[in-house]
Amino acid sequence: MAAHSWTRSGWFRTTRVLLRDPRGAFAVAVLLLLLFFAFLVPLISTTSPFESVRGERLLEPSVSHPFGTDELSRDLFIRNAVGLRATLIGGVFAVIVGWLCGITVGYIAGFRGGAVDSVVSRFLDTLMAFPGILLAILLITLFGPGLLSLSAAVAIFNVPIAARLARAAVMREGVRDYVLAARATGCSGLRILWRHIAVNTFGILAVQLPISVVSSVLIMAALGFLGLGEQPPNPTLGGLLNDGRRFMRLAWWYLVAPATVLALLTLSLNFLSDVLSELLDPARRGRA
Amino acid sequence: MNYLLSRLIKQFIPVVFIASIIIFALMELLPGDPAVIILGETATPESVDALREEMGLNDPLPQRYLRWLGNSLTGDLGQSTSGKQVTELFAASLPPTLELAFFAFTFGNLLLGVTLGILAGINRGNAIDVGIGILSGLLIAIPSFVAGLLMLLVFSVKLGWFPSAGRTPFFEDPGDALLHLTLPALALGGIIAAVISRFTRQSIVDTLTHDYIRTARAKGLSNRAVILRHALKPSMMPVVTVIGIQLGGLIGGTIVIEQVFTWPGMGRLLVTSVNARDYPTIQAITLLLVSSYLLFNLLTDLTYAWLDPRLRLGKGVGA
Repeated sequence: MAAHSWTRSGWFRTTRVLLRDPRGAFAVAVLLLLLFFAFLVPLISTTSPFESVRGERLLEPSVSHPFGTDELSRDLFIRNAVGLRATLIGGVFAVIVGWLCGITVGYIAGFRGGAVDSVVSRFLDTLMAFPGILLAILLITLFGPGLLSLSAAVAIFNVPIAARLARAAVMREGVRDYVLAARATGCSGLRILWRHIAVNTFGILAVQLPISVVSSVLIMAALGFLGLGEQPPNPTLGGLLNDGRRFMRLAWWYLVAPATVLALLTLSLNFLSDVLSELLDPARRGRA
Repeated sequence: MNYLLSRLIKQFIPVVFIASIIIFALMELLPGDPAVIILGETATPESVDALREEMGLNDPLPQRYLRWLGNSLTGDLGQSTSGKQVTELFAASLPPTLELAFFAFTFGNLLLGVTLGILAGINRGNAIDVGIGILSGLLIAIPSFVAGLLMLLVFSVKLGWFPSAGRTPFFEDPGDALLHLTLPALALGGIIAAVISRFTRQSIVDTLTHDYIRTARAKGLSNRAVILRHALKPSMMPVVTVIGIQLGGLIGGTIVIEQVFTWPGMGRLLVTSVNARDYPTIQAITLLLVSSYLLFNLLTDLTYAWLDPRLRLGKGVGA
């Protein structure tokens, strides 16, 4: 039943309903703005995120520096844009890699069952026993700090989440009549899993996806704040928050700018996932 | 009792065991010889060898793992590379974290969360409900450490109402201790309050549709009596589970919040140890945090089973 919302008209209807909901419209508008800020501003702008201008240390926001300048006289507008870009790329990369691995593992465990499932499930339980941020800190201790190892750590954090969801979805779909029918017509196991079962689990996974993006971006930012992410002088949102905290007595804008960008990002992603889950999950429809 | 035993044997103990192997293995994979880290790069090969022998680093892996696990379980957490015993570091860092978690938890759950949830639930659909909904939406969506940073900027740097860093032990000066605690506890407890208030609201709304509530109303009980005596207790069941899950979330939250407010707890100790490459301390903190996380999960399940006896039989609620 869920499959019909993945056709073109389904997409169209989803988008229309999404934009009609005030939270959805807010989320889409803010996300577009943030994407523009992160990906187009660094391309258009002539200001360098690394260049210090003599005598422009810790300037308040103005027309030439909309977000002010930092302790090394660098423009914070461009540094926030580049920082947001790094955080977004890292977070989305982590979610894609983590989810691809997790879904594959989950599909196989749920479809095979038996000993494979038991072993995989115990392993996932154990990964889930580590609070996300602690797991990421441990992996960074192992890999060394940096944007790539941070993304890898967040990807691993995403694996059990996606795997458990995919496993549960496959197990629920696997006992349906259409699977039996496909088996009766002589389909191979892999074909049943991919062409019949998997397509029907996408809806459930889609609801969780924005939540995973939020938590991944958050962990990226939090670890950046702890000084374990990308190393200076490259800016990230977390790193800017950390620097901003150090200078908060002298320059409020230094802290407020990245905090606002991050808050807007998580706020709009949360709204998006709320609206999407009400749309795609029939059980939640009409409960609000 | 049987339920407790089977939960312990089938889930808690195996997962703690595997987790401890992973923690041990992770630390083994790390580059660098612990003996060299302690003695410094200039040490002679002979003295390094002697220390390795003394620390038991030349023994086979399984033997070292068992010794590490045995020592940890009996309270010997090893020596930090700073020269202090890890247990000493814990003795200094654990009380502040427990204090912060306790206040965040009480603020978040009992005072703010449940109260707001009940208010929203019994005022379903009107302005109070909508207002609380928006507030909880914001609290959930804005990361707690960002909220903490902004509160720090506004309430302590700009307005000067609260101290911006550090901690006063509670029993030395309760008033000053509370001042130091307020902002971190609010930052940490805010998201808990939001989640709890949502669940409480939904649960109250659901409970109020049951037949026995109609019966209670039909008996002529006042609205207040219906809510307090009949609706509240059964509504709390799903809330208890969420509270348990939130306790686990507190562990992750404290790590960052302690950094924001320079709170001298376990989270700061962890970050300091990571920066100093103090592996024995990292190992011990991780083992402690993971086992308490699992313990919270176990307690949640037990509370749930106590509230709903059907679960003790190992059947689903729908069975």
